[in-house]
Amino acid sequence: MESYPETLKTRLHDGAYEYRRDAFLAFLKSPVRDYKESPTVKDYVEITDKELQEMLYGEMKEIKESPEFSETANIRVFNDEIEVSDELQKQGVLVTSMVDALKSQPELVKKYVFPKMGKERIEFLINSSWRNGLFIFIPDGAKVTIRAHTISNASASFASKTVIIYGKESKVRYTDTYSTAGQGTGIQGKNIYFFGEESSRFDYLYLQDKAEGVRDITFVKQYLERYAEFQFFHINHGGSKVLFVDESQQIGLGSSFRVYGVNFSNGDQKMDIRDSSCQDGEESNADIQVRGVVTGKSSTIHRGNIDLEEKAIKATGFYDSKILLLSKDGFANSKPALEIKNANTRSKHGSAISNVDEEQIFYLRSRGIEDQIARGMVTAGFVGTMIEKANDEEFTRKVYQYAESLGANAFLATN
Amino acid sequence: MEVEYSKDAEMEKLLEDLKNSNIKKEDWEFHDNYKPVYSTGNGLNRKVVEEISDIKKEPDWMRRFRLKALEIFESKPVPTWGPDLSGIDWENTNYYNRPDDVNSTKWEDVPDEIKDTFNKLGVPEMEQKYLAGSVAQYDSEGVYHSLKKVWEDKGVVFMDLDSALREHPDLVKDYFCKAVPATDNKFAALNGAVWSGGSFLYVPKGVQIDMPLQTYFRMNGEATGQFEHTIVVADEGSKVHYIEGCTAPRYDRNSLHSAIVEIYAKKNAHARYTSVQNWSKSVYNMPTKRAWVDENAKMEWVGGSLGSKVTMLYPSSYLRGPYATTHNLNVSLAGPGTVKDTGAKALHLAPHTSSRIIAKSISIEDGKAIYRGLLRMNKGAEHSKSHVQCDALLINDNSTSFTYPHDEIYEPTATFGHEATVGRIGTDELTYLRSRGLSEDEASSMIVLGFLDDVMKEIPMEFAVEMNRLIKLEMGKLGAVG
Amino acid sequence: MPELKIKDLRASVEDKEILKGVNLTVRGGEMHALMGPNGAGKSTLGNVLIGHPNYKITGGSIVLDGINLTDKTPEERARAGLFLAFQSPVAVVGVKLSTFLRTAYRQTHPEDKVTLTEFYDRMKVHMKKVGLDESFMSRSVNDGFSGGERKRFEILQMVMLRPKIIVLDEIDSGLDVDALKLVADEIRDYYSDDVGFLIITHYQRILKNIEPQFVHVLKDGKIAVDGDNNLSLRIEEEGYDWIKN
Repeated sequence: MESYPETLKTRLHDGAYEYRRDAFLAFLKSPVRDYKESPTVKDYVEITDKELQEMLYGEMKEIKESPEFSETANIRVFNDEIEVSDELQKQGVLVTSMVDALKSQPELVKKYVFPKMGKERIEFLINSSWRNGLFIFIPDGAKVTIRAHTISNASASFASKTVIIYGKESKVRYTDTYSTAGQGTGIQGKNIYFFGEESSRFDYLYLQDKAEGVRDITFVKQYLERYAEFQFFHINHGGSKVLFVDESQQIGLGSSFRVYGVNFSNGDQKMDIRDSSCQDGEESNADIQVRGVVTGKSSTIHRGNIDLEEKAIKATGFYDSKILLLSKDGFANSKPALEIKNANTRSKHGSAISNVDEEQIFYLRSRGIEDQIARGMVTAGFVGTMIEKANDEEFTRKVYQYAESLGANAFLATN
Repeated sequence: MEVEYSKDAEMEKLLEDLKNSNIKKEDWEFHDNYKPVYSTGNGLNRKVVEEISDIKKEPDWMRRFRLKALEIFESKPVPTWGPDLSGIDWENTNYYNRPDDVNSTKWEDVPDEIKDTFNKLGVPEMEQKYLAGSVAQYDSEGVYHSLKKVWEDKGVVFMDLDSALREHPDLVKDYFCKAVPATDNKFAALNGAVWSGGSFLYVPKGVQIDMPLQTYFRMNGEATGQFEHTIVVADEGSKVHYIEGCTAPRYDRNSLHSAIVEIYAKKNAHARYTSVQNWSKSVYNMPTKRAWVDENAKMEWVGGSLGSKVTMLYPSSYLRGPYATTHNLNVSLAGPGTVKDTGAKALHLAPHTSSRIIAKSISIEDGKAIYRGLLRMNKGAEHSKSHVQCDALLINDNSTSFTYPHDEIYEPTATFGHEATVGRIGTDELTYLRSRGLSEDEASSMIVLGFLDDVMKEIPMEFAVEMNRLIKLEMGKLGAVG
Repeated sequence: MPELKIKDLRASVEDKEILKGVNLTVRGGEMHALMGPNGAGKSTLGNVLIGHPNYKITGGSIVLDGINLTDKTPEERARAGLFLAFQSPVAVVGVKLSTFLRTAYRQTHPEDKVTLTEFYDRMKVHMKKVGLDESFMSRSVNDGFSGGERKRFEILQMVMLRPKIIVLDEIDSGLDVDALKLVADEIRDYYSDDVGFLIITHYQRILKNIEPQFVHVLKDGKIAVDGDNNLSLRIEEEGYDWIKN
């Protein structure tokens, strides 16, 4: 990666050059962990430097067939092209590409984008090498519903950066779908940063359903000011290797962060799903609930760190992970953590890994329901109870759909 | 037991003691001026290891083992994933200190100064009251051991490991470093190279010892290392309870304690290991403790980590046979300026095995309590169960707590649950208790005991006594609650 | 007219033989009671009939309308028309009662093209009859149900799934007098020449509401005595001690 600075100069010499350079330096400086993650494996989801290079130097490949966008999408992204519905623009929402924002919104970019370099090695690299992404600005007090659908070529490798800024007392509901066209083994990285101003409310539904071979790396960050509320529903379903890192940055007093995550790993998929809170704000709260369903030969690890800083007086943080391990060749793992630096707080984490209760399966079968369907029902029930708490229709529907469609192969290795 | 103890009474006493707390650390942080008869001087190299082996007149296999372990030690880096260990002065640590040639089975033969030390610590008193046997170790060597005749007649072996190596060489060789090989980690390798002392306890098939056996470790020298190696073998169908207590005076220069404890619970055996560690705040405490638990055997770890500057301790149970079970109870007290990086490991390697881990930590002032654990269910560990619970209590605003469990499940029929909480002494609770006439100290120690209650209920009597004696000293600081 | 033939049925749990050769035939239009002291193997029989994986059939056969069910899976037995009301039904967290019943019905009656609305309407009628509030439809199967609610739900499943041979295992336990009457009414309503019942019970209580024509006493894994309802009355007065194997 030594030749990167040259690439940086020639290929990506844009208004973010200094930001890119500093992020790249940060990437070079961040140490690579030299000990094994566990006694059995070095990394649960290993992303090698060779793969990162692919992501870095990848060319944007054309999608041959015309992309099938979700009908309701009011933002459509494919390749570097962005299409925004008129209705959204009428509401005063600014939607543009990151590349354009560097030119058209220098003030906003300077205020929000440049100061945030990220925390982790790969995140730094994405911040230095993104090709494009969305830049969205939602004014104070706006009430908007956004449905974005991003389609990329499954064989394309690239990094993107999306920044969403929403103003005071704004109320946003954002559905964000990532899928691919064709088959391929691209390595696709993205950083998605949210900036929530005072008393804003953001409901974010993230859905990743890329093609089988795609390696997906995602970093999500929420910078939350006073009383900003962020509800995050995420589903990871596709891809071969999925590294999903989500961490709130709760700066403001009374800011609130709720996460309901579900992921399905099957086949040879490897998923590393991390949901964490980093709380500086007094009386801030975080409540994270993640469910995983493991089938086939896949592996899932859930990590979550509740970090209550010295200043976060009266803050609360909860993390709860449950994984259903359905197959003999599957692997489930959880690494929750609490880092509590201030005594005037409450925090808790819980994690459980279990399989389907055979007595339940038997009961359903005794009523004439086929074994496989019975397992699908119990699995849907497992994720369903949590989803009901989330009380989001679209999210619930998707989760049930994936749970119930766990193919015959899902349970083959059981028994 | 000849003397009646009641846990409730102990609790009462603890509260009473807290109220009149004028006990000072000096109660065990004193040191005597006993000069070692022999010392290898500072630093570690091949010559030092050979010298230790020469002094001990060991068999050749042990000498070769030590030298091999030294190579491993030198090849492994100091672990960086946990607490800061830069305070260990590898060069200037004294790896072997021999107090005297005496290793007696008669208390009278022990040199007076050492005897005084153990007397002050209440060791002989405990032996009289409720022990089936005991060993006392002073710096690098055991100075005293005894075993009630009734157990000796049944074939029980209990003595320091050096004596055992002379008297029962084959038995020792069968178990030495089988569960904890020198390759396990840097500190295990160090122990392999310079080990001295520790206990060897062998309980023959079917022998059930109803009174505990105890070893008391005392580190006296400044900047010395204590590297004892303890082996407990509970043969098929036997039952044994082994207790360890440890203290050391406080010095300006850091000392290193790097022990190995290996426990073998054979088929249908029941082994319990209780340790109360109260090293002073100049000790780096880095032991490796591990049990092999065979079919239908039960292993219990009960631990109290009260003292030391830095402790890294994760007692492990390898559940090797079907229906093997392990319980692990641990209480850690991270006093001001100290780090307790403690936890437990359970590895389920066979079907129908079960484990239960309960860890409680208390952080006082800037004390840092860390729970770090590993739970693994291997493929084939069918229908195994595990539950892990770790709770932390923060006493002061600047107290911190970290929890890093790690769970790996490869078996779909296994059931596993983990829970952790971090809380503090709530103002409301304190106010409520104080409004009923309790002093702030009483109220907070009552809450602390309440926090520890579910562990206290399960711990054996002897441990409650020991806990009482030691925890109240730390708790005396509770005046600063707030 | 359906016919369930249990022939010389032997079964064991964890290598311990519980059923030691049970012979019993239940036909449409027949009401049988199976009584017996605790530990006689009554519940084992129910579980063995429906194919619980923990019970191993070591001999004999179970035949329903000429189809040998002995080696069949639980769902195949259910689809053949066999129904067991469990003594302690398990909770299936997250699976809604309505979804569960609809799926089960589709699998047991693939030929019936009943619409969803019709099905739910039918369900609501019967829920009322067994005394379950409509709000139960969106609850998880047996999750947080009281003992009585579980029993009512078992009976609801029976009438909805329309099986031919019904085994009721201690259906009266956990029910108060009023609930018992509701359940007994529902059983009598469903009873016809096309269905046969085997009522497993320790006490005579439910038999006062539903008068069986045949009473059998299971003792030490075998049918020790056969008789009519007078046999159950004698058991109420004298217990089981007088019965010799």
